Amino acid sequence: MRVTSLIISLFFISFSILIFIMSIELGIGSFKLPGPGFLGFLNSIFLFTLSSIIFFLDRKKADEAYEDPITRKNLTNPILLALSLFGFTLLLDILGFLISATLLMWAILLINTPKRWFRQLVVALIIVNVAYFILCKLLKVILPSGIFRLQW
Amino acid sequence: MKKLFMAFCVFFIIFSGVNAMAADAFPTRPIEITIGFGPGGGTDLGARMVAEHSKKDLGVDVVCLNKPGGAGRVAATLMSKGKPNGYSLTATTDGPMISKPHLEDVTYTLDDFTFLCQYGILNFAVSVLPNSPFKTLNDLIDFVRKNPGELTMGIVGKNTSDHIAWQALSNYENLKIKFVPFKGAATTMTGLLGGHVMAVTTAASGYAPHVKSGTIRLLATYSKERLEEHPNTPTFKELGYPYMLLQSWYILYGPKGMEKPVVDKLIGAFRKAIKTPEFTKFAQDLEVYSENPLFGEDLKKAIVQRSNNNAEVFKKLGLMK
Amino acid sequence: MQFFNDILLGFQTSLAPINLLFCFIGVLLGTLVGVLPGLGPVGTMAILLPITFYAPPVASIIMLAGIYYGAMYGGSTTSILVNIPGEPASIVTCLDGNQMARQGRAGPALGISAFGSFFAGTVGIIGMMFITKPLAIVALTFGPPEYFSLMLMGLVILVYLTQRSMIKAISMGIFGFILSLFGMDMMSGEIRYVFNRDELLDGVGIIPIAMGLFGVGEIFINMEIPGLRSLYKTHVKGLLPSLKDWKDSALPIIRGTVLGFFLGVLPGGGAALASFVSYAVEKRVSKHPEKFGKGAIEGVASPEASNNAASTTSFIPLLALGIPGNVVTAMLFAGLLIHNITPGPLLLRDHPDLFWGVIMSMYIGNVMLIVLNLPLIGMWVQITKIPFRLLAPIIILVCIIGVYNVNHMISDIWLMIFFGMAGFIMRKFQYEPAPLVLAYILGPMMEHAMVQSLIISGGSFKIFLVRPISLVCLMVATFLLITAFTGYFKLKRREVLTVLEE
Repeated sequence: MRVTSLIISLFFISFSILIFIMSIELGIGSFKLPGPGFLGFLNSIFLFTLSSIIFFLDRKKADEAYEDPITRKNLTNPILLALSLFGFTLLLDILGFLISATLLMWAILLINTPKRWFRQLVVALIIVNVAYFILCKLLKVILPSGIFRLQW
Repeated sequence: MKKLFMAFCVFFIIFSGVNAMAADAFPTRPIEITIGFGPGGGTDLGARMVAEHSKKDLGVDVVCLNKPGGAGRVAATLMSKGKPNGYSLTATTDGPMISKPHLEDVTYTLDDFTFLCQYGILNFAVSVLPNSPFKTLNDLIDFVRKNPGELTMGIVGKNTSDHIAWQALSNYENLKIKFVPFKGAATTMTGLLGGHVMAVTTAASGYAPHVKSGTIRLLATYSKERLEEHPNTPTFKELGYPYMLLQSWYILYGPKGMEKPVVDKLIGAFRKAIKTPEFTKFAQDLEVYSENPLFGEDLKKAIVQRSNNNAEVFKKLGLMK
Repeated sequence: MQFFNDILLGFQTSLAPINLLFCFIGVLLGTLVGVLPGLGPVGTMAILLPITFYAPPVASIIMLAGIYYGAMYGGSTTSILVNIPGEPASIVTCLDGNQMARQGRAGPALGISAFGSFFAGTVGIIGMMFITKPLAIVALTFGPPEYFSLMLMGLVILVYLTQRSMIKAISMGIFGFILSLFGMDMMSGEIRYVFNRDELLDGVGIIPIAMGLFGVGEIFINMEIPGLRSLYKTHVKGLLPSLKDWKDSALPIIRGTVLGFFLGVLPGGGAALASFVSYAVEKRVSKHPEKFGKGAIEGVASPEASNNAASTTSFIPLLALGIPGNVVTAMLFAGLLIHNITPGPLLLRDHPDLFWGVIMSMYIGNVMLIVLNLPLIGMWVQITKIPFRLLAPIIILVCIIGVYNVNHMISDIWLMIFFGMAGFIMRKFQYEPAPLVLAYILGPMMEHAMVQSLIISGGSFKIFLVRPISLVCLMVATFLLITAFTGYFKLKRREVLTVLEE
């Protein structure tokens, strides 16, 4: 999986090319009167150069012993976390903050300690409601209440 | 068959009765006003004041939240897709309604909204330092004619309403001016005070406090008649440039399809709120006071008119998207 | 004589019971808001503003001001404890402060931070008392060319923020700069790099980026370690800074105060820039720069002092000239207008009780804050004892609420998640987030200044060299750049030599 480190450089390279093209579309102007795309143009060139350098340096090192920081084993939890966060954000407008946040908290608690499901749920409820009290009641933060309009 | 028909009639009557009651009972829960600008500005403070003073009449809480973005465009776009139940409203300037559709690719039209009330106005003016060699606007314009491309004028962002007005002026009078854009009225005023630009054109949020303290001098205002607060400052119209007319409005609106009883109730409450002495005093302090605010259909007609006027000007200037 | 009368008047005003009460409420709310990441003082001030309509003017302004500098005290708490910046000015504190917490030294970090803030705040207030007018006038002489050079200098500083690969740090900086270009451009009126998404009209947003890279990213990284009990490798070694800590922090605090004091006066300059600059300065003058990023207390003391000094002096343009220098002072500006008080040079003449009352109450507020914060250190340190499995969801929740509160848009939460995942991957591969954030903050300011300057000068670059302040900043920037690279090469050469020796 030494490909992963190269992927990042490749991401930057493609990102810089994208920005380069969009900057030209916007109009670069001149040094005397920079257009909207001027700095994007310059910066994308720098980024392209630097990430290409990193790419080639990494490729040279590819022959040496390489310990991949990301292994399949320990990616499970982060991936589960990402999925929970996605789910939360998708549900937030529908179910409202109180329900979605409780589910999210419960999910994260369970990812770290997959046992004692019911107790974790209670902990999740406590966390969410304490936060709701401080932030929404005291500091008057406004959070989505969803289609059920659940608030207190 | 007959029984079914009877049952249907009864159901229909009850249902419409319930609907009517629901409209009568509006509002039954808090109303949310989305402010399309950041906290602390005129749009925000005005909306919050309206909210505060309409609570009594409406009988429910009116909460405000900020959704800045694209100078009100994001909030307007979201509102155009909103539910017309009367509990979700938006407050912005009329920029997203009368200017932006001509300059940018927006996804809404004026028919997507139910306009409720106008809660304030925003005037614009040109300011210079007290010791500036320009004693009148004509001095400034003479200077530009004699020294084309020399005058630096600060503007609050490119293609804002007053910048476009000056572009029109430069076009008609054949003037070459260096417009220096700044971010926000405060930094624009700082540019003037520090002497980095020779003159600036801003809204009242920029010039009002400084005129009061005497740190700047107004050359001209973009209003129909001389402003009450600044009786010694001539209008562009007086000075011979009648097309330099500008005034932003702060408006409250909801999505299209709101029911008449709901609309009437809201307009009634907002009307009362704006007429309270507290709101009046607040508006006068911030120089956003509007003597004859428009509501409902009148407001919509005026906005359509303004939008069409703008379209003409933009077309002439070649700014239409 | 008048001066001492004024100070007396100020003290009298600030010690009036209602003003004391409002001051206390303000600093309390401010601390709370500062501690919660993402929730800035601005939001709370906006909500309280209409309510202040019913309160006496002096008390209202005192309270609003208290919220601001209270937030400055509280902002470093989460930076140190959980590596999440409370607001942009506290980002730099994350670098060394969090490392100290992980080494069990959260107490000393918090203590030095509080004390540095107190010292800087007090000095700032004294400065305000004596040289408000002259300082404000100097601040006005900073025009677009000066800002450009200053921001350029600030950007050069980002090479000092890295411990490892210079190339990667610069790449991060450039990436951050490009990100800052997204959205509607003030200078040209064009909408840039928005990919047709309305949500990006005002740019990506510093809050989703900072919370994502630092807060959420942190959780992602730590989730990877199965069965992680605690983020903190060693247990707490003591609550108070040691004698050595005090000695080490003394000069940094003074330097930070001076830097923050002057940088804060510049409208648009601000606490964030001050904190980055003072960190870089400390690293540059330190005898052991390699310790930075691993828990050097100088890296906490100086930025914290400078951001407090900067937030205090940011009041100067407002009180002296009626110019709000940042969003918070703009709020105060609005607050004054609501009470029919015109901020500006006449403020001192027409409302001396307000002017001096606010200044004196800042002393009182600072004292209240240090009294509040020092015992709280004991409480905050307990957070390090909370097991990770409990801390993680709480952090995520607080980040989500914080980021949502800015624009009330779900898209911001998506952005934060994206940057969280990006932060995870970045840190695995030794790309550091700090340069990205710094470039993101300074980029737009530099671009605006550049365009403004070129319009004023008609396209000539001479304007940057002809004006003295601008020239000085450019020279400093060049100097810093060159020494950064020579220092780097020296380090690399030393590394290569040691390898050869083996």
